Amino acid sequence: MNNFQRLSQAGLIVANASLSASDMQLINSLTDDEVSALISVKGKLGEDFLQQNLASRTIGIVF
Amino acid sequence: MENISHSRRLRDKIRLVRGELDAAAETLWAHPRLREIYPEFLFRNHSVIRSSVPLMKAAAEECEKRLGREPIAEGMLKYLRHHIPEETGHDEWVLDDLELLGFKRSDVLKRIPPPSAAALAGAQYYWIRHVHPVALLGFIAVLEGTPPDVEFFEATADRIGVPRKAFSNLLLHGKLDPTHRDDLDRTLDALPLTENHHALMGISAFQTVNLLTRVASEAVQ
Repeated sequence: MNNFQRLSQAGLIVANASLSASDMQLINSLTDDEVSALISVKGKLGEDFLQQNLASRTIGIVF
Repeated sequence: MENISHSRRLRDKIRLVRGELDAAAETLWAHPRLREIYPEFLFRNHSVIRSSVPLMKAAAEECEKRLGREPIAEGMLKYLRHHIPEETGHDEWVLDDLELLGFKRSDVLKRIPPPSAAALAGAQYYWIRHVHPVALLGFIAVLEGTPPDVEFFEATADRIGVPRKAFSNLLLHGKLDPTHRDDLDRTLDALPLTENHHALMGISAFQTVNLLTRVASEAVQ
């Protein structure tokens, strides 16, 4: 099972999410430990992530 | 991964997960009761920032122990020794802002910080002391990766009827963070990072985004 499949199965990638080739490469380049950490913190990818790719500006939180 | 810089590799990983953090930010800054919530945000902001310099000092200590044994130690130590003075006192800026809003420094410092802020700093102490100090670079990359938009925060202060001086922490970071972000990227790109270092920075960054989201979201609950 590749990383994309693992993250999809864990519910972290929104169903039918369409990712670019470079983003797929990035996801599949993560180590097992990084994927496990993502699943552990439930770092959701998908809609927000896709929208962010198109966003022109991120205000963000400042600490 | 081939032909991609160390900094770009870390920033791309952060980009994967920061959607929720950015959504929390939008909820906060667009909140109809932001004027009431803003002091609570500042308190949480202080809870996080007060640990930044101590964390960097802990990481510097661990780098010193590794000098001569690990190639990464020297470059990382140089970065930390430069960055520590630059960050020193930033927690005081937040206390200055709170005092302008009528909250005494002494009262703020007596208040127990939220567990989410303790978890955020605690995780970094764990990585630094028990695994490798390189983890802190993932944490710093998240915290300083999105420099505040000065115009946006000036307009926000005006909109909610708060003096711009009470946004000094955000406005000063708006001016400094682009340089800090670039300094970190240059440092990362010059460091002899292994795949293990990259994985640890990634995990640290994912955890930082998750916990920062929690710290920020709790301010509006």
